[in-house]
Amino acid sequence: MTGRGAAIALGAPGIALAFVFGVLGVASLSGDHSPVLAPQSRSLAEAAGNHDAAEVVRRLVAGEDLRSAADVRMPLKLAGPARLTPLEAAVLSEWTPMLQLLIDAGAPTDTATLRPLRCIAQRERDRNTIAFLAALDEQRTLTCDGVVLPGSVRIYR
Amino acid sequence: MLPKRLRPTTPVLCAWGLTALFALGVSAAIYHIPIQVSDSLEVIETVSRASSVRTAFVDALYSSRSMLRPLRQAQTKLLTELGPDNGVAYTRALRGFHALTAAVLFLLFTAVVRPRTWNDLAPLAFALTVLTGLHTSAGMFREAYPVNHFLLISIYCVATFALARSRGGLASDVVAVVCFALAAHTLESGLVILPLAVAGYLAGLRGISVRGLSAMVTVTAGYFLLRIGYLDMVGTEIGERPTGYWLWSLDSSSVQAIFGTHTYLLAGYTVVSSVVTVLLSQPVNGTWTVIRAALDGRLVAADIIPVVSSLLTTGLIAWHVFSRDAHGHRRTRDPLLLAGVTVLVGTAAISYAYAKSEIMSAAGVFYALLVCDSARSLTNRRGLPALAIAVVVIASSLWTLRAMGLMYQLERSAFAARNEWAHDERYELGTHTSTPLESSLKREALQRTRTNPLLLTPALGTLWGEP
Repeated sequence: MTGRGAAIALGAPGIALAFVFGVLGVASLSGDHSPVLAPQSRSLAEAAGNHDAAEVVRRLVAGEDLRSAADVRMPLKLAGPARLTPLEAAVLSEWTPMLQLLIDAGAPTDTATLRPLRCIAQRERDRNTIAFLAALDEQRTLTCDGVVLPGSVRIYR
Repeated sequence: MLPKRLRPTTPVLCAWGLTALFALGVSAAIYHIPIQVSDSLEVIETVSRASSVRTAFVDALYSSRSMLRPLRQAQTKLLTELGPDNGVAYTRALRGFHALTAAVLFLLFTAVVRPRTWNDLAPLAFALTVLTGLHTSAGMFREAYPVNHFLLISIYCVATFALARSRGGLASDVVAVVCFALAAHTLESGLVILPLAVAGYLAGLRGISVRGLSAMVTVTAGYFLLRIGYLDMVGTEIGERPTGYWLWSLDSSSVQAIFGTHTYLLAGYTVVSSVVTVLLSQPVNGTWTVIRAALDGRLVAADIIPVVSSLLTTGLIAWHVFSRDAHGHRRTRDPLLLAGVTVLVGTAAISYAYAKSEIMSAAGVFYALLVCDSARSLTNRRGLPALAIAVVVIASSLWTLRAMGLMYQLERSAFAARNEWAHDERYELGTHTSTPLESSLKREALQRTRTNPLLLTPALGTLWGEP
C-alpha cells in the first residue's frame, strides 16, 4: 500500500465532513437553524413535551391555544407521535417547571383536567410530577378507573 | 494579475476551500447561539453602565481579587458600542464577533499548516476534524460569552507562533508584543505566550527577535507590577472553585476535608490532569469519567470514542517525534513540537487551582497542528502495511464522528441558552423586568426559533454525550 492509500484513508472522512459543514453553514445562514441535526418543535404541545420552554413562551406570545392537542414527538419517551395536549406532554416529560410555566400562562387546573394528568404521572411513576399535581388537585384521592390515557403511547422503559 | 510565483496552485486553493467550509459551518452555528444569561448578562449590564471603553477597562481592574481580565470587559464595551442600546444590535455585534473569531482561528490554523501540495490536503482535513472534535475546543465555540476569552487566547497563541516562524522584522515584533499584551490582560493563561515565543526562538525561529522578546519580558514585568504591586491581587485559591480529583468532583469543603493544609497535592494532580486531558481526552475537568462509567457499569460509545481516537493520534504524534526526518535527525527539537509542549505545560501550570477543559483550548489547537505534521509524515511514507491503513481509517472515522458532535453541541448550546431566558429565576414568563436592555435581549433570544436536540434520535444524542 502506498502513501496515497494512507492519504485517502486519512483525509476522505474529513473532506466529506467539510462539505457537510458547508451545507449546514449555508442552511443555518439562510434559515435560523440546522435542518439536519435536530428538528424544531412543531407545536406548543411538542415544545412542552421536550423541555423547550423558550419555544413554549414564543408560541404563547404568538397566541397559540394552551388547550389544543397535537401530534407530539418525544423520542426520549415515545416510539412514535401521540396526540397530546401541552399539559399531557409536560406530565409525560416529567419536568415540573414546564407544568408550572403552562399553569402560570393560564392552563386549566380544574379537577376534570387534573385527573387524567395525575393518572399519566402515576403510570410514569415520577414522584415529582405526582406530588406537584396532587398539590394542585382539590380532589386528593385518585382513581384512574375508566380514564382514557393518550392511546398510542409506548414507553421505552 | 498576480505574478506566477504568487498565484495559488490548485492544491493550495483546495486547502483554503476546505478550511473555509469548516469555518462556515462552525461560525454559522456559533452565530445562532443566543447570548447566554449565565456568566454573560452580568458583564453586559456592568459595561452598559460604564461611560466609555476606558472606564470599563479601569472598573474591571478592581472587580476581582484573583482575576485580572480587564480587556474582557473593555472588549465587551467596545462591541456594545457598535450598535444602538438594544437587544438586536447587541446580539448581532456579540454573536457576530464570536463567529468571526472562530473563522479567524480556522484561517490561522491553515496558515500555520502552510499547505502547498496535494499531499498536504489529507493531513489538513484530518487535523481540522481533530481541531473541531477535541473536547478542549468545544468551550471556545460553544460558550456564548460576550467575548469568548478562551478562543481569543488560542488565536493569540497561534498568531504568535506564525509570527515566530515568519521572516521577522519590526512589524513582526510589534504585532507579537501587542498579541502578548492583549492576551495577558484578557485571561491569565495568556501569559503562556511569552514562553511560547521563547521556545520558538530556542528552536531556531527568528521571526520574533531578541528585541521583541525583550519587549515581551518588559510587558510581563509591567503585568506583575500592576497585578501584585499596584492592585495587590492574589492567585486563585485551591478549593475556591469545584474541581475533579480521580473519580470525584470536589467542592470547597471536600478539598478541605481531604487535603487539609496539603492542597499542593491537589494542585499537582490538577496540573498533570490538565496535560493528560489534551493527550487522552481524559480526565475531563480532572475527573476520570470513563473509569467511573466503567465501574458503574454504564460505559457507552460516547465514553470510549474520545479516548480511543485520542490514543491513536497521540500515538501518531509520538511515532512522528521519535522517528527520523529526511536528514536522519530525530524531531525532538522541532519548533512546533517545542511550542506545543510549552503551551501545554504552561497552560496546565497556570490552571493549578482547578481543572477545566476550556482552559486547555490553546494547547488543544497546538495538538491538532502536531497531528497535522505527524499525518504528513505518515502519508509521505510508502509501503505502509494494511494494518496501519486500517488504524488510520479507524482514527479518521472516529475523529470525524467527534467533529460532527461539535455541531450537535452547538445546536444544544443554542437550545440551552435560549431556554435560559425563559427559565432563569429572574426572568419568569411574561415579566420583562429590570432594564429595557434585558427585556430587549430576552425578546431577541426568544423570538428566533431554534432546533430542539431532544427531538433527535436518542441514539445520536447518546453518541455525542447525552446521558
